[in-house]
Amino acid sequence: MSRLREVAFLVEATGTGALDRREFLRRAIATGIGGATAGLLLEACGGGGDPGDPPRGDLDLDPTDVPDEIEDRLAIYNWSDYVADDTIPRFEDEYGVEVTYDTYESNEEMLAKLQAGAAGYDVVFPTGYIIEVMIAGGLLAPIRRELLTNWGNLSPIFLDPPFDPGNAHSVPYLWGMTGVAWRTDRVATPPDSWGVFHDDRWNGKMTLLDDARDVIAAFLKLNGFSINSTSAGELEAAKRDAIEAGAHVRAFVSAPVKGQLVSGDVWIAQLWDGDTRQAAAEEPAIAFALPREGAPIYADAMVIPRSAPHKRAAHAFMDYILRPDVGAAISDATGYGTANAAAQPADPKPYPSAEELARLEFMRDLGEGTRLWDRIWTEIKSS
Amino acid sequence: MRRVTRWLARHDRARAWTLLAPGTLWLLAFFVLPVAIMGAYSVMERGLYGGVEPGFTLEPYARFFDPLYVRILARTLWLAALTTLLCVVIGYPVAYAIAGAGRWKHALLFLVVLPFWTSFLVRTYAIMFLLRDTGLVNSALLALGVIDEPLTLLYTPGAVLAGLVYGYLPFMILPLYASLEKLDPALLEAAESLGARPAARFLRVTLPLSLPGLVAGSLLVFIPSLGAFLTPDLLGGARQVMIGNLIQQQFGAARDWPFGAAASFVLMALVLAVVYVFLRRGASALPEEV
Repeated sequence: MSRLREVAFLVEATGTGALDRREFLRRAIATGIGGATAGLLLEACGGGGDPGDPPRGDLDLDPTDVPDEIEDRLAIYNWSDYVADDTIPRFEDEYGVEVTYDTYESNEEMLAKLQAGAAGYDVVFPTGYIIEVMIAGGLLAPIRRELLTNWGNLSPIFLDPPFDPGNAHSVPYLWGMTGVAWRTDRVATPPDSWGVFHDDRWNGKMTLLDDARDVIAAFLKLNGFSINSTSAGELEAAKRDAIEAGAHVRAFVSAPVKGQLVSGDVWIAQLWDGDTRQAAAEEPAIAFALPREGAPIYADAMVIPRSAPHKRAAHAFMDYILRPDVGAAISDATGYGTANAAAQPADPKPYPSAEELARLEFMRDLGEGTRLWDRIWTEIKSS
Repeated sequence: MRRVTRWLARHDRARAWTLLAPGTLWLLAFFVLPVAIMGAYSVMERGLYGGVEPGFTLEPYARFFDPLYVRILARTLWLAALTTLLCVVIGYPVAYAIAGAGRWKHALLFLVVLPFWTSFLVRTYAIMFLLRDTGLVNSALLALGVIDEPLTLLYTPGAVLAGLVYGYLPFMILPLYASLEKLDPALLEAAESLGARPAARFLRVTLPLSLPGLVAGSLLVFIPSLGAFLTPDLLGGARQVMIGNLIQQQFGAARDWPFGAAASFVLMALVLAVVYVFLRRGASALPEEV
């Protein structure tokens, strides 16, 4: 049983007197919900009251129930620096909605917060493979397509993704790829293979990302395997190559590597294309290469948590984001490509060609494989 | 209200409990309860998408004895011990000098705590700027002609050690200063008039009397060093994995809460063992009240 359904069941059982308070707390904590949250839930539902009281509380609302009127408030939970400066104020002015805006730094941070029972967010921006986890955990409300008049603006490349067939729960937002950022003034030929991280010539001038998924994906691709492999044999080959690369690279660095590319400390770095564009804006000698063996492509999307209190305003906001001019401003400000094909930013990031698209692969959740991946990642970092 | 105060004044035990209540409740809510939850999680089944599932297993603890994780633990202990030693070597003379600095004492103490006004993250980034190939240290050495090629400073074990020592040095200096400052100069004069040379005066009077500060400072440096995860990530380029990184990873990307909780418990057991040994040794080594 999914955790949310388990909780909904527990709440109901307590309301009808089938479970006493202590048993409720014990089982709620067992589902991974903190004791304090469980206690609050119990209060909210009037648990422990007269048997036969109908259970009350947000969890019993039909998640598909979207009111006709746009509410006057909206709570957004997004990556930091992931909209344009005027995106939110313009929406507030135009729709008369007051927006609260919180940010996170990693998918895992956001997921842990929602799993711990944080309610009140209306729109969240997870990456594809995390959307899969959120759907499986029953954390998301379905998208009401008829409320999104600008849906047709979206590029077909990002529709019907493997992590959310039919886009039942997600609206594509921005997209990116993991490849190789390099200094054209120091390195003569484009490093368009993951094999560059085994090249003695650049010892100590290269870095890999501090990210298990991206690093292991690179060496799975080098061996011709899927970036979502959970096969022990395939992962062993990738691990060997990653450990060998470890002897050539300086470190595992994510965001700070932009500055080191600009300063010239690092010449070749595994990096996301959006971050590479941000670095290239400061140092024009920085370019992006997409390895010929293939690479991860990712799409961040907008989703509505099941517990969202302002679902109509959430749909209005997503429809607003799908407008061409709004999408273009966001792409310009962030350096990431927009999934909105009708949006043409001043400095457009081209969509991957059919040939490139054939080499790119969406990340999927690893499920039970997560543990093996983590063991391998720890081994790569400690070697 | 007056009646309550009068009643409390007459009842010693009730008064003691009233005074203890806020602290006790605080510790119960924010220490005992979380530790109990962690303990429970460490023996439960792992939830596929994070969290825990009902069940009982000691597998997370058994898993910790994988040589990979034992090596990480050993590296963590070694780095923490080295950090503590370096903090003593650097911090003792500083504390000694401040304690004898007369009217400059307060200004110098202020300088010791000044770094706390900035976030540790920001200071760690500043160290990265100092240590990188094109950073201040390398530029200066190159300009002075001391070296021809930039030294590899950032993303080395040495950089992690430097970051840890920098971060925790004030925790060594402050308690040492507190015990050195209380040292009665008359004791040193007595030792001198009885014929003790400077080295003997330091080893037989100053050092034993500053031992409480040394023990407190060492604990304050050693324990947080054991749990460090920011410094090894940023200054070690994620290549000097410490147990703090391992634990953080389990609650984040790896979504393995039971293993993360078990690793935290192993770390906590180690800390308790070290504190126990230190305090016992420290207590028996303390001089009698003078």
